[in-house]
Parts: sequence; structure tokens; C-alpha cells
Amino acid sequence: MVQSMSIGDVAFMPPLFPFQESFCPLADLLKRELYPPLPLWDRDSHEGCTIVWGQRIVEKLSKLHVKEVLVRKFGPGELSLPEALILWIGLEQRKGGWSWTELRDLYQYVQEHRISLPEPLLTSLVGSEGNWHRVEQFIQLSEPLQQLVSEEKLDLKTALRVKSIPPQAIEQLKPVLESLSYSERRIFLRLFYEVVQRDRLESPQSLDLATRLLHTSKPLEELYRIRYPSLHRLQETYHETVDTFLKGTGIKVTPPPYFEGTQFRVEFSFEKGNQLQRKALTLQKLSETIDPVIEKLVYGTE
Amino acid sequence: MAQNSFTKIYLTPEAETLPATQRAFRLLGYPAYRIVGDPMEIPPQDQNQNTLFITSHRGQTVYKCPGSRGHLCCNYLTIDLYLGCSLGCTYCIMKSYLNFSPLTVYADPAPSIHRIQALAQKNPHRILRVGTGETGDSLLLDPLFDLSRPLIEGLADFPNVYLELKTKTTHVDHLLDIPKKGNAIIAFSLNAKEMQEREEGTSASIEERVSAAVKASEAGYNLAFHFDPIVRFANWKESYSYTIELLKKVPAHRIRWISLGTLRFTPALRDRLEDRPYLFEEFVPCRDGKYRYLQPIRIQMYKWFLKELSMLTDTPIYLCMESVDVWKAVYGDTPMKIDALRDIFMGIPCKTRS
Repeated sequence: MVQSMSIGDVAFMPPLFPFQESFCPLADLLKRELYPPLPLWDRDSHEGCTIVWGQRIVEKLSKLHVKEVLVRKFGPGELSLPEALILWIGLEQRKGGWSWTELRDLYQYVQEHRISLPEPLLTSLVGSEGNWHRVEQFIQLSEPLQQLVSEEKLDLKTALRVKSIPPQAIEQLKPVLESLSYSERRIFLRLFYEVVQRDRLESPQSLDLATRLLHTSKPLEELYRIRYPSLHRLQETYHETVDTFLKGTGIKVTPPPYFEGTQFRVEFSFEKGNQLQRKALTLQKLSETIDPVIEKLVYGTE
Repeated sequence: MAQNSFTKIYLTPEAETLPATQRAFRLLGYPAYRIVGDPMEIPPQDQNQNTLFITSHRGQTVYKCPGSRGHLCCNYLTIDLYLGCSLGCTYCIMKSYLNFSPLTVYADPAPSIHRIQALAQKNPHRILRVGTGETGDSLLLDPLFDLSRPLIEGLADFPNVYLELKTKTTHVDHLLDIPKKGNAIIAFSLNAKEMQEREEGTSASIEERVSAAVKASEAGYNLAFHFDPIVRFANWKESYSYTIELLKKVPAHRIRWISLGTLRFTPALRDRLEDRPYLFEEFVPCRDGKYRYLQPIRIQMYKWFLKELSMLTDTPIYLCMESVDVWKAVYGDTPMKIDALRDIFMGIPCKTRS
């Protein structure tokens, strides 16, 4: 039965759940008592009532100097903990919009109290029942990775892939991660993880690598170089020979992508015959020296 | 080697009375099973490789290897007898599409035999290389179902058909007494000993495979060996040398071909593979979208294998799913222009798997 109670009495009641509420009707509606009556639950008739939901309403009504609040009291046995939680989730009136950390807290509470949430409720929380396990996956992440995911700076799939990176290393890398775009951040963490795995780096060594990257001007490029040393050497060989040779000539020679294939591409433009002659001469000189480089780059022969 | 650790068995109604099913049930001690009209009726909790699903073919039974865009394919024909594999190799390409499927046995090989016979008759001057090892291990479950026997017997009279049974097991004993073997080939996937021990699940050891090869050759079978996937790791040359050295035990004249293929994977497969040390080598995307070692590295690896194996045998050695550029770098030409490989690579008209 809905009844009125003194705000002062309700304000002293502890919340049943440790979750942050987000929904609160507008002041005008509150003044006109257009809000759901606050469920109060006297679980065992010894410790008094707890507020199932509505703490924000109580706070706001107090600020509005309203003296009384609409409540609905449940006695011992009139409500179960799962029903109370379902009530809490329902009264929040959110359609989606649950943050990863809120879902984590809910998940942990549900697990701890062995509450089974009905499918429609799970759907309202995470889109579908099947997505509930993603919350469990989120919980497996280290604190800094959880933070990146909950701040939408990293997708859960990548975070799961790199979850064994020591958290201290991720903390150390924070300034670098902040400076990267979303997709660069994904690539960076993936590369970092792969280097840690490949080189079997323990936590202190991972931290050293993070520190080293922190102090380079182009951390992503540097990490790429560490992850792909052979490819990097091929690229360096190419730049040192072909690019240096052609510097300032307006001629561009592009090797096959990742040196996969044998076709090199030449690009240049010209306006007059003498320009073309100069380019042709440059290319003639290049053709006399490029074969050993090509051998090395695409065939692997020294 | 686990071959009958199935937790559930399902079959389609027509498969119940097939001789292969009856034989398997007898050897398994008449286990409990359930009849389903369709694999989709198998409950989700049983859609895994611990479940055995026995059925017969519906529709197409023989396919041409789909090949790989921008890479040369040997135009192999494939028959699905066994779909899925429980050996548990960490690099298995089937993980990208078969993980959530039961181990499937197509227990009626007759349509496949008739199809190959028809193709062989239609193309009498072409070599037909046919294998059952594309979607599963040819011999892992074969001692139970004995499906290779009717294939061997049914194709034995066709001199242009080379039936290849490819395996990582030693399950050859049940095939030794077949009197007419035709051109049947027992083929073994080989790898470095370290790779087998660490990455090839419950497969037979390399030594055991070579011993099985010797046994098969003594019974009159031709042999083939597939170094695939070749993996680069510290001391890979020494490790693969050991395997190659073991092949000296095999009569060289019995080896019909050897194939080489370095490790490759699609991005989707990579996402499904458990992180293993060999996956942290340097891989780059190739024209078919698969990741492979850097081209110069692959070329050097293939050249090394070719040199080592050529000292052992003059049998055709070919590359599996490699680019024209790599072929030219390793062999100086493409397979269709190499006498010893032309027959192997010449295809016949046949549908590829969609």
C-alpha cells in the first residue's frame, strides 16, 4: 500500500543495494508527487527498513524542502532479494545505457547472492542474454584495461586479447595510449602484447619496454620496429638505397606491399623532353645498381 | 591416440544400416545413439568435436580444392569422408569453421567412388589426384568405419587415379591386407619433432608416422609426405633435418610426391587460434588475404627444404598454395613449365566447394 512518510525518516534508511542510481524525475514532477512510490523493505523486522530504490529522489525532495515522500513498504517475506533487484533495475528505467563498471558491479552482486536474472531483464541490461558473459569477460581484465574499455577507448575483444599485459606496464603507457587514436591504440596494445609474449617478458621487463616507448618520439613506429624487425630491416634497406638514390629527383619507386611479390612501380611526371631525359638518366643509373637490392628485398639472397 | 572418446553419437536414419556404421558400432561395443533428421537437430551443447555424427552424402560428393587467390593450386580433388578432427593441432585451419560442429562421418562412400570413376573415364589422359584429408584426418576414424577400403578397391582399376589418404596417425594396419591397391597412396603430414610434440595434440610422433609409412610401403602402398605447415623457430633447420633424416628409412621409389607449405592463416583463423610462441614470428598479409612469413624468408626456407629433400629422393616436390613469384624464385619457373610437376598441377573440370 502506498503511503506518505517523513523525508527525515526515509533519509536515514540505508540503501539495500550498493549501486549508484541514475534516474530521478524532474523537480516539478516530484513536487506534484508524480514519481513511483519508493519501495522500502523491512527484511527481518529487526534492523528496520532499507530503501530498495529512490535515494536520489529523497535527496532531491530534501533540497526542494518537501516534507513527505510517497513510499510502499514491504514487510518480511513480502519481497525476495531477486525481486528487489529486479525492482531496482526496473525503476532505473534505463533502456541500455549501463556502463561497463555498473554491469560489473551488478554481475558480481548477482553472482555473490546467487540471483538468477530473467531473460527479459538481461536483455534490457546487455542487449541479449548471450551478452551477459561479456560482463564476465570484462571482469577478467586488469584494472587499467577495464578503465580503457569502460571509457570506450578500447574494445572488449582487443582488451581480452591483450589481458596478460602486466597492469603496471599499461599504467606506464597511459600517456602514450592517450595520444593515439582509437585504432592506433588497438594496434599499439596488440603489438605490445605480442612482443611481451614473443620475448617472454616478465613484469619488470614489460615495464622497462613501456618506459622505453614512453620516451621515444614515435612510440607506435618504434614498437612496430621491435615487433617486426626483419620487415623493418627490409624497409630500411629499401629507404637507404632506393629512396636515398631518388631523393629530390621527383621519381617515386614503390616496392610490392610488404615485399610480397616482385613488381616495383615507378612514378614520375614531366613537362618537357629535357625533364624526361633527366628522369630517364636517373632511372638508368638506378637500374645499374638496383638488382642486388631487389635480390635482397624480395628473394632474400645477400 | 583417442579415436573413440565420443560423448554422444547421432545419426541420420539412412546411416543406421550402412555397413560402415554397423562395423563402427560393433567395434565401439554398441553404444547408445540418437537418430536425427538433420545435424541442426543436434542440441547446441553437443555441437562439438566430442560428438560423433554419422550420415550419408547429400548432393555433391567430390570437390576441387578451392585454391587461394593469387596463389598456385595443384588442382587436387577432395572427397569428404570425415569432417572434423579431434587430434587438436594448435594451428588447425578447421578451427576457423568446424570448432562448433560434431565430428561427422559420411558413411556411404559409394557416390564419391562413382563420381571419381566417371571423372577418370572422362579424362583418361589426365592424372586425377584425389584425397580424403582436406576436411579431416583420412585415417583417424578409419579403423572404426573402414571407409578407405571401398575407395581403394573401387578406384584400383583406374590407372590415372591416385587416391591419397593423408594422416597424422599410424592407422594403416586395417588397410594392409587389401589385395588390389591400385595407385592408392598413404600420405603422412610431417613436421619438426618439436612442433609435433608441442603443437600437434594427440597425433602420432614423427618416428611413429615414418614407421607406419615403412609398414604401408612394405604392404605395397605408394607414399607421400607433406611438410605442412612448415614453421620457423629457433633451430628449425636442425629440427627438420632430423625428420628428413628419418625418411631415409622409407624406400625412396615408393614416394610419389612431397609437398611443402609454410604456416599460413587467415585473420579469422588467427583470432581463433590459441596464442602459441610460433605465432609471434613475423607474418605479413599476402594477396589471398592470408598471413605468411615474409617472402624472402619463405623462399629461403623452401630452397633449404628442396636441397635437403633432393638429396634423399628424386620424387616430385611441390609447393602448396604459393605465389608465382615464390615458385619462380625457388624453382626458376612455374609448375606447369616443370616436367616433373606438370601432371600433378594439371587440373580437370570439377566444381569447387562453395
